[in-house]
Amino acid sequence: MLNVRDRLQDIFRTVFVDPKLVLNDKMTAEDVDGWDSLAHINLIIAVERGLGIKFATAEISRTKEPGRNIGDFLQIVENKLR
Amino acid sequence: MSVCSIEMLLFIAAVAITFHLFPGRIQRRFFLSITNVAFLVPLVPNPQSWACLVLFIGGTYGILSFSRTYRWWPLIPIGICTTIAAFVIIKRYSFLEYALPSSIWKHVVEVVGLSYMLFKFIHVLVDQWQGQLAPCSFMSYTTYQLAFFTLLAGPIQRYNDFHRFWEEMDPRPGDIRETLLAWNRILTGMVKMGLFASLASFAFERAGLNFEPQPIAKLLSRFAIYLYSYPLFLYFNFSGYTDVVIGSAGLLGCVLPENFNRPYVARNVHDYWNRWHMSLTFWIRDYIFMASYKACAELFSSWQKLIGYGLIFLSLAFAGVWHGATANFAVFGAIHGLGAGANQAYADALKKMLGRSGIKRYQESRWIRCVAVLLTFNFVCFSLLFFSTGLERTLEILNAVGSQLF
Repeated sequence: MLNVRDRLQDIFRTVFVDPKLVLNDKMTAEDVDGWDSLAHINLIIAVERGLGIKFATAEISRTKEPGRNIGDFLQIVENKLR
Repeated sequence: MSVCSIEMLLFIAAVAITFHLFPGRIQRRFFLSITNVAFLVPLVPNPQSWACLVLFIGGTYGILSFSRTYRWWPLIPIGICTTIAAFVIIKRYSFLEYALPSSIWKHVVEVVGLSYMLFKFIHVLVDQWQGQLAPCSFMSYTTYQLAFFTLLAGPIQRYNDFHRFWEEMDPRPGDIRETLLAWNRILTGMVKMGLFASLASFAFERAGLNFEPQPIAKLLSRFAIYLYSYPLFLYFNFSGYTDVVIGSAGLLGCVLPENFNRPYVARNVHDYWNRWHMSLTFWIRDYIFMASYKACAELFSSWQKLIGYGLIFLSLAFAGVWHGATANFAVFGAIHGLGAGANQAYADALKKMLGRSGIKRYQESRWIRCVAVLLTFNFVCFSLLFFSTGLERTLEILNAVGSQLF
């Protein structure tokens, strides 16, 4: 069974059409090609579907705020899965 | 009281000193609430306007309490629609003249800061429903809505950020360095408003006086001054105002969101809105664009891209209509909506054509950046022709210039 990080990585690869994408905690939206506002919502939809969780409106933009990174995103997802 | 005046400086100084003289949180909260009312008094023209303001604050807090207690989901759309309807009527949107009897407009009702209060209420209602809101009492909500430093023209502070300030009400004396920085910000804002905005406004008004037939070179130079001076006026006036209020709030220990980040060097319309009136853009992004795109994209996943373009257009068209009650603001919004929608379509097409490495080269090219900034700046200046004055007058001017040119 894949852990949350691996499942999230698969979702990122599908949404950003990049099979070589490898997530690490320090990565930000700047480091991923094509991570704009539209792609961000597509990512949120894919994460909600893939992991069976729901993001609140305020959380959606919070996950992509300047200063936030993949580690923070993963933390939010893991908290929701608990 | 004008924001750019000696009276305002004295008011800010008096409020900041008195605020810090109070020893505790509760006293400071009461003082801030009383200050807000005192600030409102000269801005509310008559008893009807007071009644509307009280009804708006009381009514929206009632909706919040009701939805918190009963957790019945239809309250959210009902609450939002009712408040928007009240907003449209109080603001007297011009289309209502055809739909409602003229007796309705007998009393002059002006609720200062209503556009901002509406957006703050919707944000609080949605976040509360989704369990994202910090505790919200009647006093904290009223002070959040009527805070003198955000009442007139934002920035749109999020409630949880306000609540941090509300909870802390830091009882220590103000830090010297931060206090000086805040005063520096206030004075910078006043210079922007009092000097640069005034000069740009003077140039704009002079240039706009006469577009009658005249030698083509004179007409074009007059039109160029008219076209470029208003965006300069708007930037210096609004960003100066924002400096004053951010500095004023800073003196009390309240951190307001930034609203401007060199907007006229944006490389496209999308980038422009991420730099201009940022707190409004982010509000529209979160509560209109993202919410509606998410709902639509989940339902019609194969149409995601088209839906995205359409909603970008609608979001910015909405931003235009929010700015004012007359048709020219709708045209301004529609122009930006078209620009941003087309920009997203262009970006998607480029991605497809150039691939990852090509896009990177494209974005890093200095020449492309210069051309893009120049085009965007002129696009924004053109769109602001519809913002600065009524639709008829703008069309008249465009027609006068066009008919002499072609």
